[in-house]
Amino acid sequence: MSFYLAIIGTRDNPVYELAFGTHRQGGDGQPKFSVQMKELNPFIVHAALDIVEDVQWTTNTMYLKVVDNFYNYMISAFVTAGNIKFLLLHETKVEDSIRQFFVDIYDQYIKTVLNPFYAVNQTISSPVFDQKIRNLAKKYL
Amino acid sequence: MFLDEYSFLSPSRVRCTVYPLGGIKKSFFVKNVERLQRLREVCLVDVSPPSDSHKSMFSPQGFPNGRVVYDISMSKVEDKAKAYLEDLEPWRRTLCVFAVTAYDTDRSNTELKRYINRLREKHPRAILHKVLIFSTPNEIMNDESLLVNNGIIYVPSQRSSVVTSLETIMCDITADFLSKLSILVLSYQSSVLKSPNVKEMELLSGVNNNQSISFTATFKPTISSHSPSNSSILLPNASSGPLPGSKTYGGSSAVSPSDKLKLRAKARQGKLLAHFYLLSGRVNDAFREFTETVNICRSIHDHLWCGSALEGVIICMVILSSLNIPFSIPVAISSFISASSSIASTSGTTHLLSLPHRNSSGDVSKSGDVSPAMLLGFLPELFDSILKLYVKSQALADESVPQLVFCETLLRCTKLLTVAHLCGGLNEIALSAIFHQEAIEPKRSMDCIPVGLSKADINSWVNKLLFTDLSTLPVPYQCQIMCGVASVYSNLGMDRKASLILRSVFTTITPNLIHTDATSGKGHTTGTAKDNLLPYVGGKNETGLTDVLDSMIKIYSAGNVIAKGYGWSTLKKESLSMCVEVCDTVGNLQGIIYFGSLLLSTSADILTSNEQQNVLSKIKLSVKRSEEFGSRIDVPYWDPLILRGIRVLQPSGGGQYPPLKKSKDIILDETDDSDDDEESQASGAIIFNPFASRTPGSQSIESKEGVLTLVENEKIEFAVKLQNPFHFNLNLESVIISTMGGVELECNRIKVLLLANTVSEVIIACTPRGTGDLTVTGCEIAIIEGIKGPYKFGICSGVIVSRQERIKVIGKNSSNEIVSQDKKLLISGSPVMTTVSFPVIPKQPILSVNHLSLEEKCVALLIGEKRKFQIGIKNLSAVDINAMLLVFNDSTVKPLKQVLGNFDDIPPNEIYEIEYFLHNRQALKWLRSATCPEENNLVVAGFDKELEIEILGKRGMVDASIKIEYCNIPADQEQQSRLLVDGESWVRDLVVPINVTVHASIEFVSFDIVALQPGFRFGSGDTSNFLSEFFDNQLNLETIDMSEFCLMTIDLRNCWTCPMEVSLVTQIDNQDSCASGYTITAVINPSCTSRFLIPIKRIHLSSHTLRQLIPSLSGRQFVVNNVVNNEQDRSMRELFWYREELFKNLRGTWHEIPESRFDIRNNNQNSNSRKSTVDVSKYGRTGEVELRGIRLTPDMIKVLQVSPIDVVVRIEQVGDDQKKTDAVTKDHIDKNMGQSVIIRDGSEFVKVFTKITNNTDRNLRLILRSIPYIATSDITTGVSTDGKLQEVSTRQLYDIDSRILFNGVLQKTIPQVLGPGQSFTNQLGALFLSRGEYKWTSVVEEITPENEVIGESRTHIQRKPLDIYVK
Repeated sequence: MSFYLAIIGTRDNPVYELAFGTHRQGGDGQPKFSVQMKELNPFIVHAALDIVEDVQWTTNTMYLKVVDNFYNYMISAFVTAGNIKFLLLHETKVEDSIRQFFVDIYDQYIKTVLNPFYAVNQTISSPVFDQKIRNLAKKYL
Repeated sequence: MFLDEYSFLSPSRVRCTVYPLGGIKKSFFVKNVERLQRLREVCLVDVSPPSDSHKSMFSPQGFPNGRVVYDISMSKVEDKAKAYLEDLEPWRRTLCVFAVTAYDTDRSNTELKRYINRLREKHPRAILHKVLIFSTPNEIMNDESLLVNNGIIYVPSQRSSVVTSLETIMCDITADFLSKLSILVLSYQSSVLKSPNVKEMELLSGVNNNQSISFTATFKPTISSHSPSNSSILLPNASSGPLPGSKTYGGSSAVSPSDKLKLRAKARQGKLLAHFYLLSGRVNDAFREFTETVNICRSIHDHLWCGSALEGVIICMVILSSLNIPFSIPVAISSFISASSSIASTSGTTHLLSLPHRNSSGDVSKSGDVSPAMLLGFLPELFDSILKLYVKSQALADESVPQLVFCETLLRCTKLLTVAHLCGGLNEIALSAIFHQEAIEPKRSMDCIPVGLSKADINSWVNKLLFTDLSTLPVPYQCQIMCGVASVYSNLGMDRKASLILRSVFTTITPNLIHTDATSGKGHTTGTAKDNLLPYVGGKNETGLTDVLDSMIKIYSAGNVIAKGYGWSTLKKESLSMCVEVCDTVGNLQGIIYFGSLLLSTSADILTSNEQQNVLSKIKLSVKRSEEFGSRIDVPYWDPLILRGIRVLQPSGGGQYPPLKKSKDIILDETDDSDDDEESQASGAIIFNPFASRTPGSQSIESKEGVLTLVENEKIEFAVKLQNPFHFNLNLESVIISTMGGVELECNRIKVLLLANTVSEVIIACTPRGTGDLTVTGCEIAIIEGIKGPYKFGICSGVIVSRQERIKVIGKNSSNEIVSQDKKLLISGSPVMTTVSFPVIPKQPILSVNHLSLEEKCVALLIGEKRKFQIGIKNLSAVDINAMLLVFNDSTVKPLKQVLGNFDDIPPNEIYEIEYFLHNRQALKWLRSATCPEENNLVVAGFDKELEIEILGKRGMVDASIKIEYCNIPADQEQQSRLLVDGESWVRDLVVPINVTVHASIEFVSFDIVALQPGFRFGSGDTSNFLSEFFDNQLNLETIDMSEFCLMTIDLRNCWTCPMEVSLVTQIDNQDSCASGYTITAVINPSCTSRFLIPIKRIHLSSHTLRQLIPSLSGRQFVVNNVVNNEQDRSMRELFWYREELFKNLRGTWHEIPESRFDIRNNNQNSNSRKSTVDVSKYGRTGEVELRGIRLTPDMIKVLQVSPIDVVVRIEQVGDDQKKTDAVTKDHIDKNMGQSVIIRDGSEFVKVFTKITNNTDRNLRLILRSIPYIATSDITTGVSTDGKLQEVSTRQLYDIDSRILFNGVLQKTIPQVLGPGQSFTNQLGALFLSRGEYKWTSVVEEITPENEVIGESRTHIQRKPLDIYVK
């Protein structure tokens, strides 16, 4: 199973992107998207923003569950208080794991924002952040 | 306006195609088609009923409220491929064909009939064929014979006809159509209606069309179980039984297969009829028939037809709602709706059913009307039911639903929900929008959107459609459906989704386009795809494709070059690349160029080198091809920030034109208003005015920043910084600086090759013509590479770097925020555009040094020596110099200024001394010609001039420089104002450096002042003789007392290698104002010190003078000195003013005596140096002796000053007094004042006169205290009056009372007030009892001073005690 995670800023700009695979069921953590799908991933996630912007006002929770589908893929969303969106493209419905995954990413994201040298909407290029997200992915998905 | 193919009410519209006939213009055709389209709705009430009874099946009288709606299209392609669906969905069939033409008198009736026949041949499946002849003249219209025709209709021209005339025609057509429809229905009655799949197989076997084999491929509507609407659709195999609550028609088990077939045929015929009822506007009949069909089909499990009929029912309900005709839900339909739905709420109400129901059909309708809101409540559920039925139909391959039907039904439903969402429910606006296809103003408020109609819900419906995997459909259908989906999304404001769909449309089309291009040369597919695509996104003409793509990429923020912070760069790049690809495939040159340059502008940083090259070559090729076609397309250069900066190169010293500087001295010099100058200095010294003062160094900062002043007609070099961030080289054909404003700039055109990935500076030589302000706005750059130009580019001086403000807008709207001009919202990374301004001043001259009279620019001087030299200058330019100023500088200035810099530690008198050397002892001086002062500053163009400079040898000087500042101040007032800015002028300068060597000459060694006493006589010796001669000759000793003078001793040393003749001169002011000088001259040998004695008159300074502050020569501000107390301050001022007074009258000169002349001089000196006849100035160096080394001490002041109160004592023997007259006595007394007295006879009375003179400028009251005492020298050898040596006690010895008898008191108040200059003489009788030496002194005390000055002494002592010798 493959996943595609994107953290998207307030200007529809990607702050962080990661494609990864599952470590369960003998997976090696590498994404197995087809070439066509790989190219399409950002487009799908970008299109899902339309739904996220609609759904986020209808609920008090940050985790919006599955907001959109694209053929067999699902898109789960999490909106932070500062309107930064975490979007995950996935194939199976595992709500709880994804929720925990998002909450932990939020934790990491908050730590990044606390950095005085980081401005909102800036791309996160920290290798530490990247590694932590990968570890979280391994833990939950 | 074309009707939406996927409108929910599309099945209720009559398909109608319009063709142009004969040679008519496109505009004429389009205009008239639009006229027809405006009248596409025909009310049945207006339509005349048919005369034939057998044609009255669709008689308009049956339902007068109904309407026939024509869907008039111009599409040339008749959808034969969809013909197989016509049994299931008969509304797809094009029933009407119109030919539009203009009236032509030459056209005969038979010709028109031939047209009609041809139309019929071409479109055999249509039932109505008409030729519409527009713009028919009125007289023809009146010709009755023409109006009776067979399919030929004359329409009067728009101008002469009112709308109703065409409307009437439409009504006539409708009547015709309805009667033809009855015939069509009859023709269907005999045929067997088949499901599409069966029909398709038949068609395939009949028509040899191998192309559409793929149509048969079955699809799987993989409706996922996790769709948000929670509507679980059962898979075909999951449940084959009837739905709960459904009322079976006679029971499923009871129906035998043959009955089933019969029922099926009946139901299908009924459905067909219902469809035709719907088309003919008789909605009530259609509603009834559809309901019946649903009922029957359900019972015999004909799911496909049941679903289709159910859709028909819903359409009827919507139309009835919009026509405001009450209806209620039939039982057959309500069974599809769950109990929880809103229908349940209305079940209790009883109401008359206004809808006629045939009881024979067996259905019992539920009582109660259905309001549109209620209808909306169960619409989603009904749609869901249709889908379920369709899914069920897949159990049988023959009867399964075609994907196209499934998708289009879903799309139509979605469209209805979208409209309901946008209008906030299925209200009147929504219904009318659906019915008349009006544009909807979307409501943005969240609260009015009913449950189940949120964007997410609609999205889930669309997702169901997409799940069917459209790629199995033929490409044109794919595109049509996708475009429909895109229009749903864009209606909902979900632009990102719409863009994603559009993108997939294009990715689907493009490879197919290439395929078709290769095989059939841009044939059918291209046209179809484009035609199908455009209506959904609003484009109609050739630029349509570009517009569509443009609207798509805008969502990815690729359309905005400047918005850097917004969007997703990967998506930007991908979408733009795709646009280029699409345009390239279609051959849209405009598009290739536009998107190509956008791609380079926005995504150059993530494009690889190859990609960039590729795009560039595509753009170039397109431009070239467009040129071949004759209409060249303009390409905006893709990097608007190519110009990074423009600066002026500082003209170097070695260049053609010397640099300009600012100077205010030259103007002051011009006006030469010394009063003004002083005034400004005075005001500056006392009051510190922060506003008046100019910030020092502001000009230097300005010039450092590079804001230069240009001069008219003088060539200047601009450095233009250009960037090329791309991976390919750029050939700039020409770069010219573009300016704004009045000054013309003449530029040299240059060609530049900008290498890849570089920022380089190119230099452009320019010459400003005219004066004023030159504003450089940017550059005009013509870029070769097949790109037209030149284009103007602004100067991008950098990017805004700022922390982001609060985030107010999110998502796609934030791109607008960035573009807005409000500066606060500009985010980091936006470029800052600037202009550069330069003042251009009038033409200025250029000066050069021709010659210098000093050899090697060197001069050797002795201290105090003055020398003259000349500088020859030449004006090289064609402009006169009319203002010139020489500014001098030497190496002594800097250290002195440094010392002055920290003046806190220096007392004011020392500051004055330093300032004196700085300002009054300047090393260089310009000797202007006195004859014609106005020519001093003038150097005529091309002429020479000689300047005479005087240089003074100053201690410590090693070099000096002469700066010649010059300019041309034009006579014209306006031109002048450009040159003179803020009281300063732009000048050029020329610096002449001089090396100076200064040797020591005559050095001041020491100084003292000795008082002279009255009656003082000089001893023997040269100097003494000389002095006494001076006093004897020059001064009248009869009138002047010696005590008015004192004697200065000055020691001078010759530090030079040659003997020097030194002269010291004092001016002595007499009271009778005939000044006389005293000169003393002496020769000093090398390394020898010589003492000079100079008589000087005591100095009298008024207390007012002494109280003055020590002045400042540089106009510095007065600062109260807290360190020095009042007493010190007073004495410092006294010392200062006395010293200044001393220097006024004292000066010294020296002459060098060369060795050869020395001997002669030596001899002469011995004889009479004072009267030396040799004119020394002719043969040696000459200079001034520096005497400012003289420092006074308070004791010296005592000697030098005239005492404020002068006390003089004189003793006179009584005997003498008797001998002389009073007049003589007075004179005598004055003369002998202060001289020592010898009293020969101790027994004689003497008179002691004490004269007190008030030299102050005040009135004084005084007490005189006379103090006689015994001189110490005689005390030990005290001798008594009788001549015997007596043993006297020390007390006796000092007891003055026992030695002198007084006739009066020793202490006495002066009776009168002494005014300034007045004197008083006190007389005291005395008798000296004892022989010996006495001294007599006096003290005068001021009492109750009227004008008390603190710290000033109030006791005055007699200057010298009187010596008295008693023998």
